[in-house]
Amino acid sequence: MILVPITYKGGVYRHDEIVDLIADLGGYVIQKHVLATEVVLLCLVPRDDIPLIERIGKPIGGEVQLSPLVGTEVAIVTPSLSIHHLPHPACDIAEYVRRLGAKSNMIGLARGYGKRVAQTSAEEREIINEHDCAVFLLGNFEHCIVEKMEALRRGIDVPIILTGRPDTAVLRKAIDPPVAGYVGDVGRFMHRTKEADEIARLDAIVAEIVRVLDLRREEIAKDPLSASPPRLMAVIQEQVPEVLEVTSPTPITVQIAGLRVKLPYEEFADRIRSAEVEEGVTIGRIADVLPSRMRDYILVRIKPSSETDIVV
Amino acid sequence: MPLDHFVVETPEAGAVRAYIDIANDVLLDHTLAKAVSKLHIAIDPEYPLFIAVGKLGRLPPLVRLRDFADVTFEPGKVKLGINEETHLAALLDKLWTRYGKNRVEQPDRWTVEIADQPDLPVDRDLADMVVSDPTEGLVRDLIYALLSIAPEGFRVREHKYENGRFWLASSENTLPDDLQARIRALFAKMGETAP
Repeated sequence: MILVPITYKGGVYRHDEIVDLIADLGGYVIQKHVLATEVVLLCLVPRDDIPLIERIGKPIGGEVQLSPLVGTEVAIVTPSLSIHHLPHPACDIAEYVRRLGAKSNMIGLARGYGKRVAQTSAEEREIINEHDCAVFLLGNFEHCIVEKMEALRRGIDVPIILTGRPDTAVLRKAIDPPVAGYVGDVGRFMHRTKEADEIARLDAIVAEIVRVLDLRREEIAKDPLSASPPRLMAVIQEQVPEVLEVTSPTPITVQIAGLRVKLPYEEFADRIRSAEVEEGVTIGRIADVLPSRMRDYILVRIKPSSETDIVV
Repeated sequence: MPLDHFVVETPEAGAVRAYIDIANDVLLDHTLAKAVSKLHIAIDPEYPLFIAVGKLGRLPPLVRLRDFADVTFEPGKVKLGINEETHLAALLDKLWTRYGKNRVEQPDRWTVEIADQPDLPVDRDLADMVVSDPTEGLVRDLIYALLSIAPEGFRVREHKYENGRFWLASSENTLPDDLQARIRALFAKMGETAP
């Protein structure tokens, strides 16, 4: 069964029927927002059942859209958190990526500015490496981007998408060794993105993230995971109900090959390890349950089936 | 922006448009677009060096005591009837410095009294005293705005303001020896002389 990421938008009225339907079809609701009288569900559903969800949602004013970034966690990395880079473009991009379903985290480097002095700390690198991919928002000069990228990319294992003012082709040619993705004509700017050409650049960033993550999914598909991340999310929600009390918008963040569980590691790691996915198969057997560098959260990294000889 | 001269020069053509937009946005956000009449920015990403030179438009007038208070000399004291509180804090600072806190009284919100003693007389031209110079605040805001325009990593900085003309240079490295010559050349491009 191939699960497809979608966004369902509709009224509060009878939306529980849609939630139940998705569960009955074997899908998962990754995130649910209730905004006044509107409900937004970010879900993974079986590809063949999308018309059914559309048909049942239509009489109650529901709409279904494909959202390729649902179930991914993206790091938006800016050289700093100063007025030079925030709120535009960093917040604009982070917010736009969220609209397409990704969980975006903005990471402002402590010393990411400057051509010669730019660097990352071990903690920053480890936090970035906990994501599915990292979008680096650099500035307006090709010369500076080339020089500082060498320092900023050091120790980053996840795919990097580089944005900057020079054209995409110029960035692609200038960065050696290559990174996973490039989006040009962005750079540093100090106004809100609202013109059509600016929105088109945001769309280009999203398209590049989707392309890079699709490649990552293809790579994973060659050696499938022992369990799908949304399935483990459902297991944790059922067997560690304390996670439902967490006030964060996403108490469990679903990634391409893992989960971030927003519970204290010391207290809950063992309970998560011993949670049973199927009879005799615990999460601890098919995944590494690690302390996250983000607060005291728990990071669950699902092992490939070649390592565990299990697919559940 | 309605500037008489507004130029950004860098060796990378794509960055010129970017910095025109950044300068435009920053000056508008800080309501400085009307205060500046000329601005020339030169950025060398290789050194790296950022230089902004420019000229302010018509300068705001000095604020004198008579502009916002009535000054009355009475036996033993000088009474100031305040018409507008905006400059009161700056006025009290000046009076405390000049006459001392023990001689300056504020019997109510709109009145300030200065003890006038024969051996310590109050200046007879007190009404002409300059209380504040709005240009000082304007220049402070301008320098802050220019630092927002300059790339963030350029932490070595120097700036100067004199008679409506200003410049700011910043870099990641020490500033070059020929900085003054570069600044003079940029002022010459605007048809001005450097301060």
